[in-house]
Amino acid sequence: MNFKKILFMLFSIVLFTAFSVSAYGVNTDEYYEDRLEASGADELSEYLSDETNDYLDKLGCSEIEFEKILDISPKAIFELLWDMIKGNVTEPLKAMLKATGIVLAVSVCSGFFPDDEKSKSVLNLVCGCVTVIGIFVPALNSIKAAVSAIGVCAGFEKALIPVLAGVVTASGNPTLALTYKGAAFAAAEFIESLAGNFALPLIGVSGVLGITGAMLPTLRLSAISEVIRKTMTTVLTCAAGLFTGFLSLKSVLSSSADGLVVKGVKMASSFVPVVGGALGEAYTSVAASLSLLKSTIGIYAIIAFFVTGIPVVINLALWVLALRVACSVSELLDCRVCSEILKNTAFIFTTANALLLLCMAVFTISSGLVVTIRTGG
Amino acid sequence: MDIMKIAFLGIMTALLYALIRQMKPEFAPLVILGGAAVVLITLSGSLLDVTGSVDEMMSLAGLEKENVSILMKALGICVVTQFAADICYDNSCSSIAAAVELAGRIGAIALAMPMLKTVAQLAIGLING
Repeated sequence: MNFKKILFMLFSIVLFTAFSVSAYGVNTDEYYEDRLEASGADELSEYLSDETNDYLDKLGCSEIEFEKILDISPKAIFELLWDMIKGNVTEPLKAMLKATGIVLAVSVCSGFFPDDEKSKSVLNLVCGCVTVIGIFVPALNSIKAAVSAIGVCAGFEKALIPVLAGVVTASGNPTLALTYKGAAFAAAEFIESLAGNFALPLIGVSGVLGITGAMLPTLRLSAISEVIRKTMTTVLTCAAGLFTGFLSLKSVLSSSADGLVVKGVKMASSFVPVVGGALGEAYTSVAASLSLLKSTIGIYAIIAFFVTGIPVVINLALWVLALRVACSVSELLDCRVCSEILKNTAFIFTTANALLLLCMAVFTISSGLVVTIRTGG
Repeated sequence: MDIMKIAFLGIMTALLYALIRQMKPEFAPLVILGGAAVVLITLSGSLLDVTGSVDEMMSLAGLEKENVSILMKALGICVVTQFAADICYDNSCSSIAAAVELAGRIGAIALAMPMLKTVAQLAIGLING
């Protein structure tokens, strides 16, 4: 009997050693670094322009590190904004002086206009051409910058989606990752396509119609131009509202579904004898570390969107301000053609700015939602 | 520019025209033409000053000289056309006056054509993005 007992105990010890599982404590800092590298987040900056990377460098978050992002002071943000304003004020200021000069010259010339209405309209056409060429040529670069900023934002969003979706999946939110991946990719594609194929050509058509209407008032094109403007504003507002609402609802829902999975994992780990509690804790700390990584990448992305778009937004806003000042001068001098052209040019800038802001908002909200939605469990 | 001199010249031309129209109506238009020419010659100095100032304003604004010269030429064409058409109207030749006006408008548009082309290219560029 004794021999059998000893044999059974020996057999048990052999079995226990042979099939035992080693448990190691997780170093969350190292795990965070590894995951950051593995996620490919380090390469995100390559999708940004040199100018954006310079601004990120000035802000002190050229790398995706949460300590660096935490260290960003309001002073650094204001200094950066001031730098952006200083860098963008020259061109609009020059344009304002140029427009004022043209308005003064045209109003002097209009003193010599003949009484004949037909000849007057021909001269108005010539004056309109002079104004358009004088003001519009330098302004086109800013419109192109807005188009390029939208493209850069969309490209960055497309590069960000797999990175963020991978981290979100690893942090225990596969449904949220799937929702985010689908919706954000669709948003990036839709916004890029909406901006390139719908909004920008329509802004152009509306602006051109407005300017032509100003030069040839008999054509009465302002009504068509107004209809296009209203349609475009409505479509853009609806698209942004629908997308944000859709993504918010789906994210909340998928986060709840992921919460169930996480709770299931924790419950299953609690059934493991001896180390069950430790396993649950380890899972929580790994998930927290990944959640930090997710938030860091998300916030870096939001800062990147901000830094990509804001210089152009400032530039366009300064252009609008300059054109409005010139428009006031032309109204003061009763130079109707110039004032209408300046008003329509200002409209082109305002709408391009609104479009850029809308794109930035959609991309920021889609990243922000992933950051703000709490990891289930 | 001496406005008093020009005003006096204008009144004298009008009086002379009224007088000659009674005696020798066929010479009356010549009086008008002569008077107008004298007024324009008197004005030419000031006109050059004004165009010079506009030119300066435009170059200060950074606008190309080519466009400014087009504007000035178009303005000149319209002023001369209007002047010629008015003389034709005064002599009851409305069809000639209309033809002169039309010629003036065509001349101005032809001058502005390169600018119109540039504006059209800008518009197409803007629409195409």
